[in-house]
Amino acid sequence: MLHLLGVNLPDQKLVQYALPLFYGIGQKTALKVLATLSIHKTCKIADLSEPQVNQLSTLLSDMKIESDLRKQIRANIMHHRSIGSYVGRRHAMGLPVRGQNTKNNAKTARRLNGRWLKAEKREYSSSTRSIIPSTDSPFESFFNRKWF
Amino acid sequence: MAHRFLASTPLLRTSLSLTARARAAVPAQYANYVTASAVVMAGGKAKKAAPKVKAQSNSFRKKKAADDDKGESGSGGATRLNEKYYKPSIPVKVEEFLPSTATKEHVGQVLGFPSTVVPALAQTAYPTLLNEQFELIKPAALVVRDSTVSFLEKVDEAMKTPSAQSRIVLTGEAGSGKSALLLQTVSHCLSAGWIVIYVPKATSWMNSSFAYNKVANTTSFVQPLLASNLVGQIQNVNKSILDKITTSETATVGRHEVEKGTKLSALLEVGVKDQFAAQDVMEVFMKEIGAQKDIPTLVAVDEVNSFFRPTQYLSQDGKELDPEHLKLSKLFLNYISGKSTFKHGAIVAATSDTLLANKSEVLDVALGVKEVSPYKRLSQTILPWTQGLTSVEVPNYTREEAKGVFDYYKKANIFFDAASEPLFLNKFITSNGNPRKFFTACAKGI
Repeated sequence: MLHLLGVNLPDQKLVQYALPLFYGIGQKTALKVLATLSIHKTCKIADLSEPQVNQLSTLLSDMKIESDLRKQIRANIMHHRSIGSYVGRRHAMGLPVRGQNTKNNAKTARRLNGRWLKAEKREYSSSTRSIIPSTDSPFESFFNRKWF
Repeated sequence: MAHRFLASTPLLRTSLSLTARARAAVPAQYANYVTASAVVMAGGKAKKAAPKVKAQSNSFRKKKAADDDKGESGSGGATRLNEKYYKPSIPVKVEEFLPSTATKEHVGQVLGFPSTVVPALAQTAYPTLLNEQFELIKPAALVVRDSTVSFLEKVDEAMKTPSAQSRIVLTGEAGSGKSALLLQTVSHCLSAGWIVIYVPKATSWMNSSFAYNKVANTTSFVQPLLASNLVGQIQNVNKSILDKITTSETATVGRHEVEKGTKLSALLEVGVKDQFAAQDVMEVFMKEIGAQKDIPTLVAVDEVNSFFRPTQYLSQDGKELDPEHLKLSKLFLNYISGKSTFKHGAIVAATSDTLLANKSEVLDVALGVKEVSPYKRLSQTILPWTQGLTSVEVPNYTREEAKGVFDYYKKANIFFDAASEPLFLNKFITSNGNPRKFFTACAKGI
């Protein structure tokens, strides 16, 4: 089992089909990676040599994948929300964004569309800001709180 | 139906259970009727009566040795043949296929590979579909055909001339005996004591199954493991002959220095031990054997169409590589195209129709086997490599040859029906004399 950049790659899997296990790498990018590193298509993870693994690791860390990519996507959608655009509102409501009909058939949108904002909310709420006490004076925090 | 009986009979108020009452109420003519549920229940009781087997989940079980012994072979089991479809054959005693026996008098006889040649042929695998026949009827043997005799005469003459003058490609329809003829040529040359470089599956060189590395500052790629395997095969096949030839000058192969006067078998040993030197070893080796005149060389390549189409390897830009970009393939392409030559030798190749994806239109057009519209753009990088190739067509069996093969199959006892003249005619006509179809018709009855 090769552990690379936060993802476990099983040894018996072909490299061509193991690379898409990274978030942000699909079948085309996987082939491009193989071509750049001159790895043959029937190479398994276990057959990779140490220098090849290092080259792979360097190449992948230069690409936008995993958490970096997720942050970017989240930021893009948050941007729409923060400027109050139609796109942002639709993401917030969990409805189709690109002008599809909602009279019938909006099932995928209803299931998938709110998730980036919910993730953002979760991240925001669990961020350190609420845990660490504010640097304001105790009176400010008393007056700034909503009592009724 | 049971409830109607219950309502009308006095059994209604008895203390019997419902099932007992129903059974009792059944008329005599239906007494022996067995319902499906009864069968299932009986089966269930039998299961309970049998000794309890350790519970195993049926979803996935690793096949143990016991399962293999049952003789059920899946599509992947090449060694075990399903006895429902293949009768176990009787080994047939055959004469040896030697230069003395490959003559017109022996046309139609099935001759086996000589005992001196079999270990050499075992270094590389037989062609896939031919192997099926060899697995069924042992020992491996092929029929002597008219085309065999005439082709071997041609090869014998070619061995006295430079290889650039005799670059032959065997063509013909699928299953017509191209790989078989190539195997016979290899066997003939091995018996004659010549150097033989036999590549049974050139496709495996091009289908991205071996590791490849870029050579710095060039557009070429090396396949170290493949080169090392090839060097090992050549050494094992030609060991005794290569002890007689020595290198004519010092050479640098990889990280090693090979001095002048080293035996070629020792040179090949370097390539076997160090795969990264194997490519250089191959180049020096080919140059050395080409430079000497005493022992001619035969280069026999099967599935040669893969040399004339893009490979499945990718360059660093993501484009498919041509065979000329792979150093080992380029080395062979030089000899196939006549750019490099052996002083005494010949290049014999066979095309393969097994996989449609491997067909090379460029080669077919160059050999005159296929005609395309003049407006069709053929690869200009691959076309130059096909210049000067001669095509030899391998026909289907003649009546005489097919009869000889039929008699051989009869001796091997692979027919389900009794072997007779009408059966032979049936098989010969339905298969149109095509060797592969004739074998399938005889062995599998289709």
